[in-house]
Amino acid sequence: MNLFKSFTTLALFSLALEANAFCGFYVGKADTSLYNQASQVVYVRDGERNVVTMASDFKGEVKDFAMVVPVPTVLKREQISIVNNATIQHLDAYSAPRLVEYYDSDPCTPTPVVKARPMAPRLPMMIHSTKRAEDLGVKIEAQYTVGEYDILLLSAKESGGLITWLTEQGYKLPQGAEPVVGSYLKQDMKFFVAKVNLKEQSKTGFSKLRPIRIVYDNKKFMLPIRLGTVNSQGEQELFIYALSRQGRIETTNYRTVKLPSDQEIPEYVKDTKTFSNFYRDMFVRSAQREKNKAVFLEYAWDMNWCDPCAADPLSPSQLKELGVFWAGTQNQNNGGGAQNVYITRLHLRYNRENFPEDLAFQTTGNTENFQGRYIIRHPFKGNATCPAGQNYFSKTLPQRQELEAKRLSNLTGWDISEIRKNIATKK
Amino acid sequence: MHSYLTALRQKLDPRYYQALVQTSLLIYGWLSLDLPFKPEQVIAVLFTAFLTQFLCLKYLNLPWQGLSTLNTSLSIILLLYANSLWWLNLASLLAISSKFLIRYQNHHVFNPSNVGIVVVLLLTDSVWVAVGKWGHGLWELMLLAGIGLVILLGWQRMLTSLVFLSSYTCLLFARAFWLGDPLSIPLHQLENAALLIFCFFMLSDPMTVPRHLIGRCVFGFWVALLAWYLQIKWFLPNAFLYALALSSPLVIFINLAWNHEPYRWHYGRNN
Repeated sequence: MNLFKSFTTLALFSLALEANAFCGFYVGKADTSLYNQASQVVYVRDGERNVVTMASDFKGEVKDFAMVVPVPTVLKREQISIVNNATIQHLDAYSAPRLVEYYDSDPCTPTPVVKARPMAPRLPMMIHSTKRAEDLGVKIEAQYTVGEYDILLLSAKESGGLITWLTEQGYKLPQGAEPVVGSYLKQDMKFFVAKVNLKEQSKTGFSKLRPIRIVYDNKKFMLPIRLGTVNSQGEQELFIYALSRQGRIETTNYRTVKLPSDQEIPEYVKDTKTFSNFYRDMFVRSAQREKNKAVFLEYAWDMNWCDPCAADPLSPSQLKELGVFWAGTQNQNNGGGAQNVYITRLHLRYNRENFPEDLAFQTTGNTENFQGRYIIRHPFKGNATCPAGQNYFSKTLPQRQELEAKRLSNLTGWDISEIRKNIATKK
Repeated sequence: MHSYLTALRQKLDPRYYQALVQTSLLIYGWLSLDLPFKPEQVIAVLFTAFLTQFLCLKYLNLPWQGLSTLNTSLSIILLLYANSLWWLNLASLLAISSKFLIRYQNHHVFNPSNVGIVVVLLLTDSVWVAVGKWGHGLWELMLLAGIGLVILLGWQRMLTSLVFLSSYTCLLFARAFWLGDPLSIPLHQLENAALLIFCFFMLSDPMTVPRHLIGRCVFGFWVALLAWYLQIKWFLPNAFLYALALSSPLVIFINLAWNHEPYRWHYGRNN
């Protein structure tokens, strides 16, 4: 038993009180969200310090929102805080795969004009009865109201009691949750349970629930996802923004794979909806190539800069809000960026079959930059009657467009004849 | 069949087989898994390892022997990543020099690539072992390659690896059973190609495992137990590498308890 005492993971999932509204942390956005159900987690790791921010874009009635997060210890009040949605959105925008466009110059007087237009696919943003609890072997270790949330920290002797108590309190845990809850309890985990306090929520003035941030010191560097897959009807999207001092963060029990990048794609993909479809389908196809068992790297960069920038790097104060406690302690004269912060954006689509284990990570010394970047080259639109111009219109451009069409088809699985038709229409 | 195998064992130095599997893995990783092996890193490791081997042999006035050095270099290349060539050079230097410097009863104590990798991992955050990079698609092939080595070397020589793998498997399943976890979890943990590379191509080194069969069983079980403990308790992603490095000195005592003729490669000397 002692062997597992310091099991130090943090697991998270949320569940709605509505029967079929459960979906881990789903993130989406109000208007043109790419994913209807996804989760966003910011994970700051330094030494044994873990700061985890969980963002939820819960769209139902706030009274129906609930979150259950296995945590390694009973958290104190000061270890729990609220983060602004805008900060997570900024981090999302900063690290999102981007579209860059170039304009072909006049082939008769070639000088390239470059215009970078980062185009973040709007990625997901993502009570109680003490006596009864005691009877069921559930102990309410602590309770706080933090921001708009009423938070309980629970320990339990066995999973059945905890599940019965949670069910009686109105939490509809998905079927099959009991063994998973039992496994976490045996690993000496506590359960962090949050509901919305409607009175406090109305005071905040925010219509959207804000992310919850927790801080704890622990050796384990992992993100439990198992509860989220218990009753999952389909696959779930998870985005992890991992921040460290040293370099990239990668999964140790699943392959971390780079998303295809620096690909030239047809001009018509620039349309926001088409680009969103492109990105989504490319991701699905890339995942299939890895037998849906890989975690994808979408961005890995020193937080001081970006090129091109989908959004400015986060300021030291934003980074501190996310738990990067060392931010801004060094050289700050770099356009507001904070020194010594390296971001890794990971994206995975998971289900119980392909991702049976919780995610385990390690920080590496790899500081090589990477970004999901897609390139549109707009053809020259004017008249070019010189021989080079004739060659451009009759040969170079059609050949390039054919290559782009094949590449797009290969990346997304889209029908090549449909792509060719769209390219021709764009002309 | 038996006589055929005996003849094969006598004729074929298993280190050739090991180098062949390692090189295949390297090429496969390069072409199919997008593993970040850079040519300069491969050259740096090979150059430092062979130079160290050459200088040490020269100093000791021993004849040239480079096959083990190739195996050691390939292990380092397959497992260790660094953002500076210097760390890879240091790992190679430590690996090869440990064979000559840390010896007991005319045998080196540590598995060379293991000690080289572990020491640099402890020294700096700039190196890492991409333990997940190999994914879970290769394990059947790795298991086959390992079985090939068992056939080639004989089960007695591979006993440490076999006991390690069986014990580690039992420990993972026992924990899953205790936690009430589905079998897919320990299976997923086992289907890790990096674990099998370690088991069959590092832990199997006949020069650094105990001499007696009982000793090999004890050692294989102990390394599995320690690796499992370090992974569960300390959450070390490369627990098996640390477990072997920490346990290697124990072989001296295990050999004292259960003594047997030392192993010699059929071809060349024991370095």
